[in-house]
Amino acid sequence: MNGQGSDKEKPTLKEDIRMGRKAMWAGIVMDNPVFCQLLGVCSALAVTGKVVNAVVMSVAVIFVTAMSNVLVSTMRKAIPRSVRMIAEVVVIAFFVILFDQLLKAFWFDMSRELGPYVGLIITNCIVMGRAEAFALQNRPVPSLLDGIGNGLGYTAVLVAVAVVRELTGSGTLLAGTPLAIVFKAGQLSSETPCLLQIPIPFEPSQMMILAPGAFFTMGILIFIFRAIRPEEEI
Amino acid sequence: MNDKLRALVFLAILSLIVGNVLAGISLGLQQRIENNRKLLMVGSLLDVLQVDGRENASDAELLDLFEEKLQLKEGSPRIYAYEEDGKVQAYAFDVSGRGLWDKVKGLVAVEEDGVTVRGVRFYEQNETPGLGGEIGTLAFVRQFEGKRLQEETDVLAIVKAGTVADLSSTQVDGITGATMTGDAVNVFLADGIEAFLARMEEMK
Repeated sequence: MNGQGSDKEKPTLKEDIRMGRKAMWAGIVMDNPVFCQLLGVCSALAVTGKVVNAVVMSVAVIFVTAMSNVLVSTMRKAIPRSVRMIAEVVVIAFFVILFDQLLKAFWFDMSRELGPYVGLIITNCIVMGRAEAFALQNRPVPSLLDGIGNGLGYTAVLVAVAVVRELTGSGTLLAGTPLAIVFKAGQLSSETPCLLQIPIPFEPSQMMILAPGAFFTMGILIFIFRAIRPEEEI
Repeated sequence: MNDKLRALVFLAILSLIVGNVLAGISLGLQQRIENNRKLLMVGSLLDVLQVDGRENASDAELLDLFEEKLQLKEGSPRIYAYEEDGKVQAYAFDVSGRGLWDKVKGLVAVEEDGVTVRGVRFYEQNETPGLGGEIGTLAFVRQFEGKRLQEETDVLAIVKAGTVADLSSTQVDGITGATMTGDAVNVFLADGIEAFLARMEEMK
């Protein structure tokens, strides 16, 4: 706006958004943090027994990745290089504890379901990875979109794994919400709210709820994703 | 030197700001979180005592039921007596202690005879999900119903079903793959039961 020179140094919001959108799509598909970089696998295995848990966990990761990206990006010129990782962890821990406290205060049951995993987002490599690889070099708006994109990439994987595991392991979908779908014949107990009951005789396998089910599902999904993903580099 | 100082000052300021903001938020939410904890305990207590009217009750109604129907007998351990029309229906007491990983908080309810188990709940626990964490499920704790706190020298305990011929009146089947959680629970369960029985003896 002020002069010809400053326009080049200070790109417009439009350019920021365009750049951010590119980063966002990379995070969701082509450079998916879980499928391509195998980051954040620990929590992806742990909280995918039920779709609801996976969704809430994902919301937490989207929130933390996006917000910490923005804050790190805002401070990127002020952060001394030698302590940048410490600063990143402080910022990430701040948002994780914030989310954890909000969950404890407003959705206590879910906080109990997720157990220690919300707190462990602090060590989730996706969050730190994005702060290091993207936010430190880029402006806040692209960083925000990059964080959201990578969070959504994580979400896509978590929900996919959780759908498979909940279906095969419990014979339900979205159990614990009013939208629950139950694949079971016969009378349901009154304790389970349920939108739709599809009466097919089907024996859920407990193994799918336990750890081995998570590993099998995740492994097979990564295999399928990598097999059909167009043009693999390297 | 200048760089090092700058790094230190930067981190100090960052930590100070972040720490203070979090402390403020935590203070603001503390009351709500405490309420949630209390409601969880009250809900489990009403549930384990099978207090009439607890089903479909709102949070406020649960607290009312807690105030109205339960008589708290202070002491060690605290005993909650569930009374209906002035007559004791059941007693409940806390059983808490170390699990395999973290503190486990539970409740045991007995019939008015003081020995027959009405129910057991483990409402706060951080055992391995899918394994030890199963102690939090209804399917597991239902096994305790109708068992006895004590029979001659035996105390209520979780055992491996394969190692005994038949589950006696003080034994419940443990969780496959969670023997250590079972053992840990047995320790504080026995302590809790011993203290409860001694106190019931006193109160007679």
